[in-house]
Amino acid sequence: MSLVRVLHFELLGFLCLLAAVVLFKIVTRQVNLEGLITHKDGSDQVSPERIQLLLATLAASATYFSQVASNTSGRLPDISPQWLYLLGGSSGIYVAGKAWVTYNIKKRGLGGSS
Amino acid sequence: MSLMAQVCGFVLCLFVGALGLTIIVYIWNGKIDLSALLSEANGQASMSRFQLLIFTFVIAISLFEMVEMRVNATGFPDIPNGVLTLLGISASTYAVGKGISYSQPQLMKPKASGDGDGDVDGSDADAAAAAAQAAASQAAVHAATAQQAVQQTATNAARAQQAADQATGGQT
Repeated sequence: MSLVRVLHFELLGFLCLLAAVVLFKIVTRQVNLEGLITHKDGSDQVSPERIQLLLATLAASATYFSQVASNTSGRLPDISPQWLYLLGGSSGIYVAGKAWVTYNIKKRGLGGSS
Repeated sequence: MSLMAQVCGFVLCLFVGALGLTIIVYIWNGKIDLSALLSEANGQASMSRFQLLIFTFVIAISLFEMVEMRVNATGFPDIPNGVLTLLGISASTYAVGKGISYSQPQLMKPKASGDGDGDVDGSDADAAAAAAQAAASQAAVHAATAQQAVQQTATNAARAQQAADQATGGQT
């Protein structure tokens, strides 16, 4: 076995082990996931903008993985502009929602202190 | 020269393997703490961090697969503009979200100091009042002990003074 193959298996093993360890820690709650899809204003209600960003992220990741798995050209497949628009819009909605919640908390705090 | 290249390659393989294994073992043992990997400033999980983590793993593993396919080709595979834009969107979302989080001091309260909801509510005030009461009662106990010690010291000093006076009178 050549050194290139050894190095290949080492790096592949490292990447897969790292992903597996992170996934294991997420599943066993050793990585904190509390509040991932809820508002941060104390209401603990489910946040729609976080849900849509989660779904868009998972859908885009699965689609890209399937493209990579079926690709035999040896080049990374490109991502279509439609997916980029979708993810950009989804991220924009998430950031706008987060800013709105933060603004409301700030306004409530100023009103309560005055 | 060929032997030297073989030795260098072997050492490089050993180093990379040992480094990767050490990192994995440290993460597994908790010496590299990943518990706050997805946490925001207030201790709760962040969606933008989660998104960046997923995209990073997806692109990294995909790129590695492409490198593996190019065994006979030379050079690093080109990264399409779409992939770069995707990572840019994700990283920008993360950065903007972090900026928003840190712009609001109330959201930066650590989870351990309250009930983790990021605001000051009744449960936080109750916990603070209970802690203050416990500290006050403990301080009262310490004050009483110190007062007893002072009284004991004064009594001992008076006795010593009497003994010294008696000794002085006996000598004269």
